[in-house]
Amino acid sequence: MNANEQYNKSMNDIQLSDEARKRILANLTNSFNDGTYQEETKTKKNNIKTVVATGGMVAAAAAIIVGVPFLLKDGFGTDGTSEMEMAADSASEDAAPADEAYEEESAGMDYDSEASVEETDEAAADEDYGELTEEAGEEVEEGVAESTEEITDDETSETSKNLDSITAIEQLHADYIYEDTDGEFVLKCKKGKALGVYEIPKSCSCFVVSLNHKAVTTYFDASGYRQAYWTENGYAYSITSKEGITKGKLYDVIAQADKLLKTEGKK
Amino acid sequence: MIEISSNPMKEVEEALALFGNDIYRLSLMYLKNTQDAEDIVQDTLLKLMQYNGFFNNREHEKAWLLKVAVNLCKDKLKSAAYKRNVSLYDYQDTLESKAESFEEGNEVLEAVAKLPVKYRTVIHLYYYEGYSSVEISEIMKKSDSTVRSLLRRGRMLLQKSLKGGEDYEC
Repeated sequence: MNANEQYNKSMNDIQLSDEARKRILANLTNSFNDGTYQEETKTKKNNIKTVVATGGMVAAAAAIIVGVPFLLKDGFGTDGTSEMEMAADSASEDAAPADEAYEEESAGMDYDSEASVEETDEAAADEDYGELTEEAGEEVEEGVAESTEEITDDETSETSKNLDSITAIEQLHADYIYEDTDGEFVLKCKKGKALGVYEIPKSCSCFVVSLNHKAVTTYFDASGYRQAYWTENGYAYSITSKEGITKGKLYDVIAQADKLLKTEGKK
Repeated sequence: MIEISSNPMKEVEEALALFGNDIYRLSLMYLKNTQDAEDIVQDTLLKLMQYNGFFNNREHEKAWLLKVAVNLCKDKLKSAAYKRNVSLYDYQDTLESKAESFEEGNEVLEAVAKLPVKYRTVIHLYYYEGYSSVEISEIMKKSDSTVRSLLRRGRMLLQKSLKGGEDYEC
């Protein structure tokens, strides 16, 4: 079996699980039925306005503070350029439409660290790339790395701080609706049904991880700190912390929460 | 002609059945994390639900979906929230751990997974999805010549990795 065939065979074995398919479909159906999928564009536009307005105010304040009035006269914030860049930044954070619309929104964005350096060692137009590992006959530099993929591990020392700073572990009853203090985060719990990511506003970044067979969803609160919740036996459990929960230590935090709930007889 | 707005949910269901695995594999190659890849599948289909245009055929639709998935993966890598994340390698499924679980052919998948993202995505689209360099250039929003260079360099890195055990982790 050559490298191509090996790769294809391995890839064919990678498939979306039935559970994931069901979850995705359920989330999308929820989003479709309650119409939230149509609201995303409106939300995005509002976010852009906010960013532009905030950016404009910050720029104006900075210019006044440092006493450089010409900035307002000829430069930043008056010709619209900076506002457009900020809008593009904001739009690309949570949206990725295709084709023309995407290109417009992404104007000025440089996703790829190597994008600005066009690779010029062009291969012949009709080159046959052959097998995946066929001899190429050319040396290339080693150790290529991309800054966008660097993952730091500087949060590991914060474990104890995370555990100590948990401010709330809530057991939410089925069909209970929970809102945070700002009214931004709404959690609908339905008995026997996993919570959908799209029940959280898009302004909160979310992802789901599987820990101890629990689908734990975490989100970032208004202050940018990571919080977490999961469902079990028809109940939803939520962990919030003033200082956020580090992703690497979620397992420990949830184990701690489990123990606490059992101690308090809530589980 | 496929028009999404006529019945968005039906089209999304069909797209998930037809192309769900393709989007998932591409996203997994990009992000190397199963949970993130599943999120990308969901977000990609959400974009399809919102799409007001139409597709000439299923191939056109698939190319569109893969392009959206690539954009979403780029956005995810670029997002501040993603960069803040600490690795969950101890606890969650990664592409490498998946590769290790295969009995045969795992070394090639593992080697591809260790290539820098710009190479592994192009290699996946070319060798697995069977797209031409021109088609990949449209999906990846890179020039055709760049795609061909990436293919060639990626293949060389892969060869080195498989022969000499070099580690090109990014």
